[in-house]
Amino acid sequence: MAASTPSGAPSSKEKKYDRQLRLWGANGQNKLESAHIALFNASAAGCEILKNLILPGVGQFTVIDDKLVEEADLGANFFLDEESLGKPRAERTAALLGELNPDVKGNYLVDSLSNTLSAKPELLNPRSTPFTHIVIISPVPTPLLLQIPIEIPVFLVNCVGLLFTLRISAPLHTIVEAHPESLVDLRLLNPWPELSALAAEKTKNLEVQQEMDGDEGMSDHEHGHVPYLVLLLKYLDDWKRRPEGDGTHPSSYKEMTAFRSFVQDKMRTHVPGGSEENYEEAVAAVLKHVRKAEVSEYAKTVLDHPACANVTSESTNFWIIAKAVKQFLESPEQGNGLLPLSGGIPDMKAESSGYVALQNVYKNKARHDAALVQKNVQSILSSIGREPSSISLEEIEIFCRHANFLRAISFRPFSAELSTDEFHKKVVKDAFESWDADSALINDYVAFRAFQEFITQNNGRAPGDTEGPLDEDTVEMQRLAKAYLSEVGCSLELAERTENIIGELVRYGGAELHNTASLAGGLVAQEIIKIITQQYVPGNNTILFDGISSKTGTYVL
Amino acid sequence: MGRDTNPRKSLGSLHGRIKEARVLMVGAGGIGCELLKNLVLTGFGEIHIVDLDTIDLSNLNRQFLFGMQHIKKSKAMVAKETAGKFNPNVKLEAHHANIKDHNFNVKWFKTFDVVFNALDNLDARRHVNKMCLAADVPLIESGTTGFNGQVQVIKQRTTECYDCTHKPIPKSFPVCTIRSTPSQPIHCIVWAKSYLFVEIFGTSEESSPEVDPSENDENAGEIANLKREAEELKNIREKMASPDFAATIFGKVFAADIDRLRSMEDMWKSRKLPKALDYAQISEEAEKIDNSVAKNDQKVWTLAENYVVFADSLQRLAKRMLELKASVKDGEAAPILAFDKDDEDTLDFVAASANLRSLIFGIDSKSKFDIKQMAGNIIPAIATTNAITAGLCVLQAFKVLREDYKTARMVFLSRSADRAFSSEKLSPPNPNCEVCSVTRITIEADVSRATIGDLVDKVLREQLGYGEELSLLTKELLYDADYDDNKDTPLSEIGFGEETFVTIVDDDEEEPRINLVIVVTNTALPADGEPITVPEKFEIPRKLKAIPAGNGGGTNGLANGLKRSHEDLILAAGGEGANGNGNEPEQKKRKVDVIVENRDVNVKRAKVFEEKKDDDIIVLDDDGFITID
Repeated sequence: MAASTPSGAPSSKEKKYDRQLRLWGANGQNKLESAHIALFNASAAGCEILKNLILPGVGQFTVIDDKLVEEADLGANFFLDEESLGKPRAERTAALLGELNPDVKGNYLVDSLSNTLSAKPELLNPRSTPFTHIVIISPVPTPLLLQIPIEIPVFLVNCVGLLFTLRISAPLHTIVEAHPESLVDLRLLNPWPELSALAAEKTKNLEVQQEMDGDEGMSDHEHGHVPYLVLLLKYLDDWKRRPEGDGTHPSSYKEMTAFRSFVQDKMRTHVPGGSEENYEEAVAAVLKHVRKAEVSEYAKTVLDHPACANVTSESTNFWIIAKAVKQFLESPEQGNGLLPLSGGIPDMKAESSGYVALQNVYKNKARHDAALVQKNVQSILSSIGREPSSISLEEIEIFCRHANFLRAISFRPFSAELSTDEFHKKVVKDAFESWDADSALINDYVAFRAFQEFITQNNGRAPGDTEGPLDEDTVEMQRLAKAYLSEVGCSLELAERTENIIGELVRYGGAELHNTASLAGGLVAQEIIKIITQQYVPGNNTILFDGISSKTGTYVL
Repeated sequence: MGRDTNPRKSLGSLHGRIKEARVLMVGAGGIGCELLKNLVLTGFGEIHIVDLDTIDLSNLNRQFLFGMQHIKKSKAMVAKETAGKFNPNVKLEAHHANIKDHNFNVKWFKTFDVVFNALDNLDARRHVNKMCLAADVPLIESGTTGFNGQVQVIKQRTTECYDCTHKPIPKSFPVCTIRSTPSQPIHCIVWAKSYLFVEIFGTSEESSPEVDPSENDENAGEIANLKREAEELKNIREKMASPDFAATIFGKVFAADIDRLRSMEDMWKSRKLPKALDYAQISEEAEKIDNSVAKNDQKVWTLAENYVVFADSLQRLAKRMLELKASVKDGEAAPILAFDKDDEDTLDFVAASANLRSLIFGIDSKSKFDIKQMAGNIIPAIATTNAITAGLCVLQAFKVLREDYKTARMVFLSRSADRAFSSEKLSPPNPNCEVCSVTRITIEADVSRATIGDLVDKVLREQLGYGEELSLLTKELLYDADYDDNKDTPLSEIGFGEETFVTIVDDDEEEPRINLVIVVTNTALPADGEPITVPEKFEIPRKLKAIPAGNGGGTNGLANGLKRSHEDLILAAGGEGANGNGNEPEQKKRKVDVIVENRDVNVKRAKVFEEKKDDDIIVLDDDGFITID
């Protein structure tokens, strides 16, 4: 590093995390730095997951494992070295992982999950646990799994040979910043008075060709720089007023196509190049942006959620602002059926002054909407006995900008899945009825379900991890898979794919391959980061990976 | 239970092949660190690592083989040192070097079973792609951006190559937009970074790929003005040691130059008039503001704050420059400073200057954090995506070692977990690809004696049956029917080194052959014999008819782009290349008509071609280019 720090240098921490701050911002980074991850079973996959959380700066981690390091560990786990042989895995992996990032605090416990549950219950009690998120690497017998309280987010990972699975169980998960491809909401069919006025003013003499300097006509330069948004607003209005029209906006595909030509025909073609870029942009934007502003299904799920209706002093800011947004949406004086405006507009061909004016109309409307929501928030806060200013305008503005992309995800608990409840049965049956069922990873799930049952019945032993003949384990796995299918109410014949996966699982004998563990480490850590930062949309709730065909599948099980 | 118990159990017979494999990994950055770990622990027998780069603080959030103590050290060397400890059975070799260096020739590439690309720029990717095709070694290409990534398996004649599909060319802006009529923040950022900074601290002759200097009748006058402005700035540069350096620069670029622009009435008829900044007023206001405002990179600075950062960073840079100058010995080149997004002094200067210019033109100013991303073309990066990508690379390598290209896959990663990633079958080669759908031969030549004429007459016409109409290209046009200036020049004098790739384009109107790539290896041949070896006679396949132009089947048209641009130039200069070989002017015209499809690119290339004949002319590096989100 440079000997002297120039006065403009940000802290070295910001610099170290620069590339990821561009993905989740300071807000996401703060949440990451407040998290404490517990890892049960310091396998290769477990350590790779931790590595990918430690590097970006998770607050703390604790490795809990009761085994001693063996030679075979060295071949799969990067975070164990020759010196580690014979020492506790928890101690050695915590030490080597800790070297990755001096900002992260590492802890370890030489213990097992079952003993922790019985002898140190306070560690896994939601009221006293120091852990914010728990990672468990299988094999874990089902009864132990069901003892983990559902209030703590748990990431259960199976990693065997070229295969792995991830199962997420977490309390109700809310997301403001889902990072959709675009937040742009142009409201072309629902313009507000200021926008309509701007469009009318900017297109006053659109059809008049300028003959000489100073006359009221538009020069070719001006005509070619009217922002396409303004053009579309003007022509939508003209379209409605056509004598042959019925006074409505174009809506069917046929009408949209006709409207496109309607716009195209107004382009000046005597200009150099024979066309105007802003008109081309307008034509190209018709199908994408000429649409009624609607509340998305995801946003509806949030606004109609009981937690939104029943806001109490215990509610998080998310639900309080959600309720305020719902009031905005329903109030005829406020949103009148529309969500607060996001306020962004895309780049377009325009003079900078014209573009800035347009941008301001959108920005001002968004600011105005957020101010109304802020009022609602303040009165809700008063009603639940909280300080009315305890939620900042900035937080409300971010929320409003993302209002149409809000998410509330209910992860099903392990108990619902492992007891094969009606919901679970339906998901599995549906998956088997889909057109691609033969190659779908639901077949892999059946094998993994048998795997879970096998380790439960064999006290944690993985199929194939035996000195005896493998055939016995294979037969047992097949029997368990069939028993599961019958419980679900599916055909008792095992699909070819399920049989193959069972074969692979038994062959691997529960052993990890470093490369698969590393891949799992990337994917699982990525989902954990999404949950910790409450940004981006995590997988719900089971992700399966098959390294033989490089495929993944996701199911709500 | 030995250390390779698990791999043996899971991989079966493949495990043996992996232990024997000799692989090359190009790039030891984000993907490279993950990949190297996976290769070492999977037990690949011998791994070579090539990387030119050194370690930076901003790498440490993902490049876990490096620690604070390694900053400024070679990535390749440190990666080898750290990863080597984890498997004593693996042989590691590190090269702190550029993969384009001459010792990494086709022969060397041929010694590997698989090559992994873990690179961050287009130019090097294309180079390795080309080398692997020539050496017929399978290549596993990968890249990530934020949560997105992809892995592609490339094998000559079996799959698409890296250049079979169009790769977007980085955006550039017309010079007048940058220098006279900006309308977006990016225009002001490019101005600050590629004009102002370079004029004050760099070598002003260097042209920036972000700025397209095309001249036309409309802007010729303005371009002349701009040249004069740049001259004046260069004179001010001499006063770097003077205490009012900042005031002088400020008065010139934010006041005098703006006043001159304002006087160009035509320019502002339909644009908002820029407003020069008032130095006296702003500097007075700035007295109350502390220099530490530069540290607040999330805030959009006020006018006065921007001035404070401008003046402070300019002073820091001037001090560095003067120190450098003082340490230069006679005869050494004058020192320069280069913009680097991770160099705070340069970033502060560019951010503040860009914002001051934005304020003049009524454009939104931006926070330093945002400007850093736009000016530095920063690509977000995290450990998780790199880990997934590297894991997928190794899985594909398993397929490649089995020569199983049917089940090998092209894989795309996305941020959505509904389909964490998707994979598709490998596509067959694009028959119109100018990089892989070519015939390749290797010949030996004594480059100090052999000439283009030897190549054209003895090899191409006599032995391989080419007609009159053909062109030879390396990175520039060496020869065609209308341009034979080089015919008697020894190859060594026109850029041939130890190993040189020459592309032969058959310009036959009727049934042109597909492109031929000749790898010319420099060899000391007996002085009394021919200076060039002649290959066996063989038939080169003809091009498919009705070549679809544009997107789908489009290629990067490297060779054609060059070729066409050259013709453009000749024609622009009055067709002086025509030398009575029976080529009718009408035919020439027709050829030119075909050019139009890719006109922009060609014109741009033509310019560069003209101005920088000696340089590597088509450097399309990802780094340093501007992308707008």
